[in-house]
Amino acid sequence: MARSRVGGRASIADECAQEAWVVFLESLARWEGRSTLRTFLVGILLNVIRNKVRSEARSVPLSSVGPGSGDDVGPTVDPERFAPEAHAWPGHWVAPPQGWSVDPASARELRETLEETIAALPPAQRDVVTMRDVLGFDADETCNALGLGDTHQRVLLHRGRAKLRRAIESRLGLDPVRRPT
Amino acid sequence: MEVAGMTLSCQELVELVTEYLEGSMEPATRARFEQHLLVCDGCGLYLAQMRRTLRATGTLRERDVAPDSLDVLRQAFRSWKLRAARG
Ligand SMILES: [Zn+2]
Repeated sequence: MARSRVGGRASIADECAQEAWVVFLESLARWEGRSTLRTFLVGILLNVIRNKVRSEARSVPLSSVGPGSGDDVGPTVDPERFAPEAHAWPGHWVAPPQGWSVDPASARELRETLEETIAALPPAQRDVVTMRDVLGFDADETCNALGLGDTHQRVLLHRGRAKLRRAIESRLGLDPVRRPT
Repeated sequence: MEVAGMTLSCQELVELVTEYLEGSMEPATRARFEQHLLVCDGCGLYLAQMRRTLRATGTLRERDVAPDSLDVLRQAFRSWKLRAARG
């Protein structure tokens, strides 16, 4: 029986998704140009985020979405790039950043790298980086929109930004040679 | 061993860069941060590269954001459906 393969919940989810798509496509049709880009995108993103939060609250244990979990902790720069404890200057660069010959704002491939990296960020980091650094909202607006505390917002921003810098460095072939572990 | 301007290690400094750029740093920490920058090229470069990265990210808004946001939406709906389908 073909029908038994589709659970009731999946059908409801399908309807929800389709309904959201219709709303989204209608608003896209009403979108009249760049002057409203900011407002438009924010409305869309906030709805998606709200929906996502609601659906995650239903299906994911709280401990795995709270602050301090998963990718929110640990160094943002490879510890191997710094001198170890035993060194005369522990924590000082042993593999410092190398100068960039290209400005990432003007090189198309670097802008693409940024886009890809943002898209691949963990969702909470991606939402904060998108609001702060792509759309240009301030910290308060971002905290309010995403329901984050000051510190958590800054941690997410910090981790997301560090990955963007690293992605450019890597794309420019300036990754330090890694010692085998 | 303590070197002038090195009361903060490079490894500590890179984790404070966002707090510094946000202007949310306590004055005492800010002074140590800026002292370190005066004597450390590596950290100066790290901070400069972070600023260039942010400027570049800001330029994505002009042209490239809409398709990205579409992807965000698609992904959100896809994972939403997947999760619901798994029960
Ligand atoms: Zn340094």
